[in-house]
Amino acid sequence: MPEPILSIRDLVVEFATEDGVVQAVDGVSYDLYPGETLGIVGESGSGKSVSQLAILGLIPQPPGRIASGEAIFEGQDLLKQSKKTLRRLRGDNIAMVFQDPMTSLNPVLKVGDQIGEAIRAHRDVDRKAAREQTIRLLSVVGVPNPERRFDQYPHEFSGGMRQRAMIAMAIANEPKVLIADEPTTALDVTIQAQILEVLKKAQDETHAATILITHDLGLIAEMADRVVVMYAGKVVELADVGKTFSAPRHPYTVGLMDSLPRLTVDEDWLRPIPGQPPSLINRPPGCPFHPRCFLSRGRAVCREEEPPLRPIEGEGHLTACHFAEELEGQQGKLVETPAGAAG
Amino acid sequence: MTEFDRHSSGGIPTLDAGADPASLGPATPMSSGSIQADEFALVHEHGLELKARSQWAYARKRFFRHRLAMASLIVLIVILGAGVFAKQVAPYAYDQQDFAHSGQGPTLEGHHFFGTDVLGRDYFSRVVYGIQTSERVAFLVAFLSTLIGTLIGAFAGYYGGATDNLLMRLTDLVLTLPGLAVLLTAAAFMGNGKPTRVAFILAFLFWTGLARIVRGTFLSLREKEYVEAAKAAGSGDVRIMLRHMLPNAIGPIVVNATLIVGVAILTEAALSFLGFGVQPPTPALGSLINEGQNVSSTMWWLVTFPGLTIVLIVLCINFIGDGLRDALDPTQRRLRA
Repeated sequence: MPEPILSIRDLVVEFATEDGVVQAVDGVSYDLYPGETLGIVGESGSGKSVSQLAILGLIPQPPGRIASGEAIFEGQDLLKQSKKTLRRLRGDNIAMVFQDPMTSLNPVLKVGDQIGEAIRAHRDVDRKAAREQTIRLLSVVGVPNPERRFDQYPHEFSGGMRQRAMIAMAIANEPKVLIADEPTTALDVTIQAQILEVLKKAQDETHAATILITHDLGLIAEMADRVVVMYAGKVVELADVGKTFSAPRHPYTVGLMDSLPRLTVDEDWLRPIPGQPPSLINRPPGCPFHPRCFLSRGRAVCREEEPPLRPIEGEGHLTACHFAEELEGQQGKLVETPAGAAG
Repeated sequence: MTEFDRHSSGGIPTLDAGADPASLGPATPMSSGSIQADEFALVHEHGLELKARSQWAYARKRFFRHRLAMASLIVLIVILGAGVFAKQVAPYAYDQQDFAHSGQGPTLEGHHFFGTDVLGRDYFSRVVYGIQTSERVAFLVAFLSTLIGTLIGAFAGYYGGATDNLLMRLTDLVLTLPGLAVLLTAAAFMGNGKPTRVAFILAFLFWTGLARIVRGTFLSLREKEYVEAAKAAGSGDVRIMLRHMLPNAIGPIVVNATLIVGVAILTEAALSFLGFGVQPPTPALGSLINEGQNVSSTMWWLVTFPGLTIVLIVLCINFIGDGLRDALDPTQRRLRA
């Protein structure tokens, strides 16, 4: 394995709320290697986005607080950098595509000027040069008629076009790391496919290592090389995308896979994971997943001991389950279906 | 530090000819956004000409369709224009005395439209010069207080926390000062007379409302995703405040500034009426009423015409403020029917 370009270790992010301190991210560690696409999946509130915003210094503090951990990018810990250094990094070395293109563009500024601003914030270029670069970027991301589009306002762009513009803004300075935070969630399905193509193309052009945050497993299968599965602010499994789908070694991942409806089988019921994610305030001891787990079956060690993230089955596959070995050789339909729903 | 300053020479990735955007499929505008926006996009894609309107064009159009605001604007331009060109408009100098025609009622004879006072000075000329004084004070007040209010409100709203607390408590402090008492004291201490001095005193009291409005607007704008996106793109604080947030807050600021002009004219009139504002011989609308009130039972025109002028100016400014508020709201895309 080559040197990782971004290396996150034991990241803990807390938010002070009226009800107590919420640990949104609780000891997350993973590496991002050059050129790869790392998918991060998890349900809402599992800390996917927060961990990314934290390393960019975009967590509002207070109420947020980065309690501990480090994020090594090119030999330097991002969490220890000054605001000014981080600002210079953002949009230059590390760029981000946001979830909702309808709200991520300023309604009163021309789209072209907003993209140009990303260039001019980091490069000493004049307006004219920035305009030319922006027009080139717009054509890279597949915005037709870019010269005219440059002078239009966001309300004259459709959702898909806006997301293309956002991607253009993100790749404007050829970032080394591109963070895409649910880039297709706010778009409808036909546009999603187009945006994926644009993202892939943007990756090819810039050779940026990409972190893809999503709860869409289809998107992961399509785009990711490796997958980080997060649950309740923790990494519960980390594996190659093939292993994640074919041989998941954490009951939560198994549950996620089971919840996907199959086109080849006539299924009357979806198979959701029973129960709710735990409250992040007053986190219960032991494995955070044990109340919903089909493997745990009330075993004491699950309730009492927090499982560490440990290697399983060869290189690069990590799981945080005491009984991961019991999953070996098993496949599919492990989650109990609701009574009477089977068949 | 230097490792982060990566300035690649390559610049921007280029499009290999012909590969895209065709392969990305047709640009089908489908979105949850406004239908109107998609129609625009559609029309563009099919190559039909349709002139894109900027935000300002929309605002202009909406304002021009606001009838009351337009009528007020015309009246106000006439009144304020008379003040600006007082020298050309006024038939006499403001201090020119003519004892042969003292105490005369409104008449066309000798162009004494508003009559003359006991010293035989033409009151129309004095009102026109009074408008000039009052509008100079009012615009200076509006400019200064908008500047102060916007700056303080913007910093408080953007940075929040301790900065916000400090600046807002300062604002509260100024707000709690009893206005008229401070005005009278300040006028007495700073010496009477000069219009600019009166303007500074008024501006010191008038910026608080705008500071609160701008703070509130910036507080909500700060949470907008495009502000976060701009931060993620590496834009600095000042750039975000000036380029991203201020244009979105311009509506309330402009409306407030116009309203301040109205209030400043009123307050300056009150100050001058009480004798603490602009001092004779320079005429101001308030001091004109003051001069006339002693003889108001016999020479009604001496209080009526300056008074009417004040009422008219303030009314017009308020109507224009309403029109601007409707026109400058960037979330309101529909044109007034």
